[in-house]
Amino acid sequence: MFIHEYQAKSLLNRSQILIPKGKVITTINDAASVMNTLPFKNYVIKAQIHGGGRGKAGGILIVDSKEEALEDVKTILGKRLVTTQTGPSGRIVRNALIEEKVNIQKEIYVSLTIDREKACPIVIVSPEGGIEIEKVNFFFEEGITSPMGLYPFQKRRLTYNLGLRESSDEFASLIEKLYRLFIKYDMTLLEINPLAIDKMGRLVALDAKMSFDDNGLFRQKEISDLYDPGELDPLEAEAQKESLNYVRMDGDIGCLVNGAGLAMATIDLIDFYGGKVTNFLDVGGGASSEKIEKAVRILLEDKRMKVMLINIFGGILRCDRFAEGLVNASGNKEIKIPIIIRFKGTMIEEGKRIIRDSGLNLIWADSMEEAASIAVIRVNTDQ
Amino acid sequence: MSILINKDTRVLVQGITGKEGSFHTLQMVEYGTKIVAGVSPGKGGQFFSGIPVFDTVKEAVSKEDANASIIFVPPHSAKDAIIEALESGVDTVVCITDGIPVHDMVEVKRYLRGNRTRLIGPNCPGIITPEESKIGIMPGHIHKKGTIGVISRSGSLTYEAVNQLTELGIGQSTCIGIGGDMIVGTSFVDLIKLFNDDQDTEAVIIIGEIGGEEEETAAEYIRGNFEKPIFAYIAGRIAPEGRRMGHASAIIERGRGTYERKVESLRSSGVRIITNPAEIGRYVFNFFNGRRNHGS
Repeated sequence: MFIHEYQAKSLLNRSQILIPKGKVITTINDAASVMNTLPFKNYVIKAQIHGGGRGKAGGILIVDSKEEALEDVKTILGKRLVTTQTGPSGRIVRNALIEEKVNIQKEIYVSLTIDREKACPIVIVSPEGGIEIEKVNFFFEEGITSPMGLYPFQKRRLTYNLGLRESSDEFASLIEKLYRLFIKYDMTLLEINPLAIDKMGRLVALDAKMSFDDNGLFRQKEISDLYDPGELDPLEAEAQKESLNYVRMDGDIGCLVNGAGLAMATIDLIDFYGGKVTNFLDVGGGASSEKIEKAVRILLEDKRMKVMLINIFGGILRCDRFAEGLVNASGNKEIKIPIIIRFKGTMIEEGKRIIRDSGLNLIWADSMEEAASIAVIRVNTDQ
Repeated sequence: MSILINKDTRVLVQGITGKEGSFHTLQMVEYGTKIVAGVSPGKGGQFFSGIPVFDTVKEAVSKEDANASIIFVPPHSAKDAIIEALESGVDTVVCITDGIPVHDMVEVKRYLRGNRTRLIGPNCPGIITPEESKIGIMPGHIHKKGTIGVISRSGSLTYEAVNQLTELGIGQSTCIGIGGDMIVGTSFVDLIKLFNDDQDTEAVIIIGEIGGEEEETAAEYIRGNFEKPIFAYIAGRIAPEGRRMGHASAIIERGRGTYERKVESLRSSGVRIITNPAEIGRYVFNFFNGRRNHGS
């Protein structure tokens, strides 16, 4: 789960990490009234959306006066921002952060994340701050293998590699605070890019990006309260509410599969036969019939879908439960699009009986190969 | 005839009285797995379907001589259950639980260093040595005893692959799902090493997927170390970057973990790449038949 920059900065601030002075606003009226409390020489206006690449997309503006700042807030609020990380549909800007521009001496990159191969948190730093880490030429990392955090020598190594001898104590203490936050809140990413060293030699977090482990949210009430469904595609938000793994794609064949691997293989297979899918949807292992019903409904809401393909290989998922959910989702309404189903696994006979008794009109396939090829043929002929 | 488990493996079930735990215990018993004990704190002294239940893993291990454990407890208590199992000294621990916080797994991995117990999972279907023992949740009947080793990051896709093999008469030595989480107990490389040493495994199939570097690391090991034929299918060829495809670990981040990179590194190590997921069985079948027909 992601949170907004201003929320992340507030978490940093509570750990005594310096952030620029500023306020977040949601309406132009807000902006007009708070502007008097923000008597800065220069202003930075930042669009608050989940996803980076805002600068290049016109989501970060720098101006010299209160009046210009207000104008910029007007431009930014309500704007659809398309960045390299938002996908082609972009995000609507619903909040803007108005900050004082910091006099920068130097910008560096700092992040904490979990290294899968080392199976521990790592700190990554680079003296090239302010640009995307993918484009950074050199960076240094330290794995945190001790539960107590970084060893002093690791902090020294990071400091020296960054060329920060003069603020080494301050940097070491910052890293320590970031690590505590990372652990405390079940984070999977804590990125400060850039971290500025201002003209007075202080370290200031000019930006902050935090991502939290969805599996840890049950013990992070404070964080889960910050969940913002407005940042998701409406169908994705609905799917997430039901704990369904859903990803929007660009085609016309809707897919409903049990298991992440099988779901990926199914969309790959459709692509193999020249089709395009509207979505990736994994209903998960032990899905109940209610959950299946919701999943089918979410797919049916997608008007781009011309054919639906269901691929079920029930292990932990029982075919009879699946069948009940499918039948309930269709209700008394007639479903206008063809549904192709490949149905196999635990309690299969009972499952088939439930579907046949309901009168639901499905196209049955014996293998996923057959199901995918029928789907592609139907989508091309039913125009 | 297999790796990790066989007909003599004595299994205890942690969370035996829960919904999932009780259902799959019966399924495993039906398959022929020797389930010797259950653990459910507070229910020690009771029996589940004739299986003695204990309060602690240690007690179950010492009284019933269990050498493997399977875990069905909910995510919030899974870390504790895994470490309790590791501490008890069993040879193999399989954790089925889906949804364990990654920070908890960091702690489990720290505990695992220098520990001789092998952890499979979490968020996995488990292990099956067909017609001998299954420690997991996979449908048993689609498996058939044979000589192909199967390792996978997925559950249902493994069933799909195994089913294709079995329908063509190709049996399996052992099938293992390592789990779909960011941090798992056992890697592809660990299992490839075991299959290399197993005289009855003739060939290995890897069912990989996008995200992480599991497949790349395996490719590096295979190069020059593995003599048997090895096949791979990688799921997620058309997955968009930056999106999590169902599994916590199935995500392309910062250009890492792409389909292309995985396929390229495996192929350059001599692994035969299967591009169509519907042809996993046929590909292996044709490979062996072709070889037989050419007398090599």
